[in-house]
Amino acid sequence: MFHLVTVEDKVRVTPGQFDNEIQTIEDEIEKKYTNKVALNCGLFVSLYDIIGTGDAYVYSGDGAAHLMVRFRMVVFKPFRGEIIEGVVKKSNKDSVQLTLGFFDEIYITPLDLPENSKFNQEEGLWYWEWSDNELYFEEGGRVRFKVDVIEFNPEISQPAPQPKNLNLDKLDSYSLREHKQREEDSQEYLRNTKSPMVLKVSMREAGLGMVSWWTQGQDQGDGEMETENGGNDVGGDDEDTTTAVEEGDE
Amino acid sequence: MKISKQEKEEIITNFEVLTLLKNKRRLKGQVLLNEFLNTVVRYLDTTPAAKETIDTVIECKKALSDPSKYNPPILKAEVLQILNIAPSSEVEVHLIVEDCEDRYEPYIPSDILSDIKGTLKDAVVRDKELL
Repeated sequence: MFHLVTVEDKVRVTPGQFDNEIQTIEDEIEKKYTNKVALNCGLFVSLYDIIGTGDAYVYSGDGAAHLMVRFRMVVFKPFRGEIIEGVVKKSNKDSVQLTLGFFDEIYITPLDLPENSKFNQEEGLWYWEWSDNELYFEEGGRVRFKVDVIEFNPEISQPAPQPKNLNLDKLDSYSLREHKQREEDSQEYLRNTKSPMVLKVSMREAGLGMVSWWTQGQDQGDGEMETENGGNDVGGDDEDTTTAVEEGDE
Repeated sequence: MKISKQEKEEIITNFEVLTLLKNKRRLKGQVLLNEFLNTVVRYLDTTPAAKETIDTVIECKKALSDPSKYNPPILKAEVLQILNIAPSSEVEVHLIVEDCEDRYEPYIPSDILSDIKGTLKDAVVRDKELL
């Protein structure tokens, strides 16, 4: 889930900070990198350590020292096939969104849910049909998933800046139409832009899905599927009685 | 900014990240940045990493990399995931260790599981309220 990535970058240290240089370098790096995505690298979480620094240079017109620093960052970038735990954030008919708290661009399409998964219109939730039981993907429930694809989107995510203090009454009809068109375009653009890093995941394997399905029962047999609501037990009893009746008829 | 490419990617466990972030000096006046770090810590606190200690992690890694017991060896990425997820049933071991049926004898998954349970101890048990 987390990697260490070695990065080289120039850091500027102002003269006022010359007495605690190392702390300043650390702070500058943290401010610049934390909570940002680098293309094909991942989401920077924190500074791990500083490997070394080069000589400090002073340029004309600037009293600060510029030095090259090589350091390691903790980066969030799951590898393909990695199994991670998350929480269900939102679900609708087209997809289910999962979150890790600090990263929530994780999507799963209905095709990648466990086999025989169905959508409940009234509740707006997906459930897994497992031998007459409806096991729901509740919002806020803990799930386990397998990473399929990590997508990086290098597209520009901001629309062009609009002119300020535009007086709409004074515009002629042509400019007004153009202005409205541009506004619509930028809104459309914002709607279509994707987050810089998107994870696509799947749950089509035994052991994936809600964590509670797999960890509660200790024995491998019937117990492993037990969930907290008592509905399962009732369903199981029904099954038993019907088979008993059939046998009796024969 | 230059990201140097390495032949081997260095992967680290959730436990290491959690201890790093917990002992980190927080910057003054950077509310958003600190909030982000806190959410990472909050997430990791709900994973088994919160209950692991440095001794249990070392022991678990030693037990799983015993060449006389596990041949072919369990891959590094698989050991990492075992430490991150702390499986408590055989289904989960099969999920993490790929091609378990072909690579190992049938009794090996339960051996792995008992090794994990013996070394990680209470990290394997899930709290009810976190599910």
